[in-house]
Amino acid sequence: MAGLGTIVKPYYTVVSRMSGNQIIGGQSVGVWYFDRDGSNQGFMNNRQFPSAHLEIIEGLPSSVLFRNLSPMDHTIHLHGLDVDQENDGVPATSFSVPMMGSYTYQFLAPHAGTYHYHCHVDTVIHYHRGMTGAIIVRPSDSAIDRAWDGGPTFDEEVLWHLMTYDLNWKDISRSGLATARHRPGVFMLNGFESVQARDDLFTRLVATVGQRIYLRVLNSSYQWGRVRLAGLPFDVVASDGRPMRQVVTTDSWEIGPGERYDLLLTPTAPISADATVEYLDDWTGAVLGTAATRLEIT
Amino acid sequence: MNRDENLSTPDNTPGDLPESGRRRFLQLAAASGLVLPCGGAIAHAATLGEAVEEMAAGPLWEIEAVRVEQAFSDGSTCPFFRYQAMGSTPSAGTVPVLSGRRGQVAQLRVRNSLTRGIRPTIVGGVPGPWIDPGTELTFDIDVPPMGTWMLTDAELGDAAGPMGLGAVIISRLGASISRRTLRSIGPRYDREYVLFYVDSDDRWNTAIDAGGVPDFGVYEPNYHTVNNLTFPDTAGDAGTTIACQVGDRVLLRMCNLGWMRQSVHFHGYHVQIERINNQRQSIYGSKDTIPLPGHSTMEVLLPINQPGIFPVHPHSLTTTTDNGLYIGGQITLIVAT
Repeated sequence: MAGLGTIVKPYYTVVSRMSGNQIIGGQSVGVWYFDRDGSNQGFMNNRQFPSAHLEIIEGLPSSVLFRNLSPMDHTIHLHGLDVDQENDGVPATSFSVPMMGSYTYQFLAPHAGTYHYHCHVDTVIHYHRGMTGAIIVRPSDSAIDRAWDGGPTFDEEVLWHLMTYDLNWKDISRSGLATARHRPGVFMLNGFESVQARDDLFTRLVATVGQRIYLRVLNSSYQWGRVRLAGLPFDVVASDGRPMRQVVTTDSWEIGPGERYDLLLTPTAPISADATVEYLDDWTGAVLGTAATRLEIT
Repeated sequence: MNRDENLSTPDNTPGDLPESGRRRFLQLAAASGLVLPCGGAIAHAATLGEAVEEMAAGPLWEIEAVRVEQAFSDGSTCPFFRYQAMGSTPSAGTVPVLSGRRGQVAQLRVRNSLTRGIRPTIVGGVPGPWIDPGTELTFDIDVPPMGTWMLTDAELGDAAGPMGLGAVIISRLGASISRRTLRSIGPRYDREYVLFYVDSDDRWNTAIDAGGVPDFGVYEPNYHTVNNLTFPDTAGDAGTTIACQVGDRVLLRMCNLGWMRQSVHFHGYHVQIERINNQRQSIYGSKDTIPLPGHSTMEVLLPINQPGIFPVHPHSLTTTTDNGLYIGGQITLIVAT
């Protein structure tokens, strides 16, 4: 299950860190992130970019105790969870949590599915620097092999963060003229470029013929991303925490910034190939760059 | 509100933050000369364009093409060409809203105050008549099939969007059908708003304003408006802030005259996409982040199931800035009481 399904609970402590480091585009880049329960690590307790993911349970009162142990105001916006105004994490309409402060965001976990959280302070910068993570809402019985109550079951499950990076922004701490245009030169999956993502335990798609792979895709880049699973057909079964009104079977799917889609792949033959995300230019539709990982079906 | 351990100074306790946050927002509004719309906005939304629709002979739509040098929160300015409403034609922000019933023939009166000729044209339609600079022309135009459309300028072509030269056309059902109904058989809605998105690359706009030709190979927008406004001005405009009440079902007519493919995120609510480019869609369930392609329209139903103030904004986050400076750009608010 590639790091998923190991911790499922209704409450977490999330700590902001502005002292992370990751190799991005061949450079050592200072990253900002949220860890889970004080682990001092981000995604899958394995890297500091992007942030840690959280898994909660549909229908249960849930909470995230946010401790801001970094030298700037931050918030946690619970993107897609339709929380009330106080818990929405937007400074302009609620409040930000100051340096060394804390706050417990409280909410009722909504319909099982794939959600998102991120800092909403000077968002264009804080988001880009890594303060972005996924929230998975499990079905009401906490099942980790079923998408939602009455929904599809699966054998393998993988979470993809679509991410792009503009290295000209790497040292910027406040938005301004320098952040007017985002020109990505680095294209990633789960914080890794293809050379690392291909064999990344938490990114690659590995199964046997006939098994069902549930791929949760969150686009936390500033560009659209086109997902291809080596030309294999897959089902688009849910988006933004709700079932699709009509399941779409396709071999490619385009995902906008902030959207989430849940894809179900049931391979019928062995294959060893690249699964890819192509990041697209808004104006021309051209592929700006590609991130790839391995699709290994035996 | 839950108070947790506080490691900050007593004057800055988390327990006080929500209230101080609201104060800060109100201070922001006051400093910007804003008045948050409430009842007035609801009245505005409920009557958008309905007076002109009652004219059996077809509505008279009056607009003027003008040059605007718009100032932004970072202190910069950018030239735009805009249509603005004249006479009794309503607007959302400063975007004219031209409303009629399907089957009617509207009269479109256009005063061209630009220094260049224009051809007012419905996006996707045949080019309209040429109007010389400094002249006015009134001509007949068929109200398009029921739905949400955009009027732009065929003469500027691909640059009309970034220049901001656009208006919204709303075509409703025939007079025998209840007004606030999306189709002959439901769904009904209680209020409606227009959200008209434009993204602009100042290098294009400056070149065109000077009579030149931009580099069409490179488009990197740095200004982002909704109803020709940016946040927090959007929060002070009765036609742009989505003022509503719990229990309402709000119709949003979302128009993207820009070239950015937007994905627009709703805080606080999931919405249902009803139509894309006036074609009914049957794929998406409820979503909190919706795809809005360039040069496209979308009709979205927003069920208001909780009170509060919640932002709505595209999630390619440079769009929430003015020339890079956060907070600004294409953020508007839902104010639900």
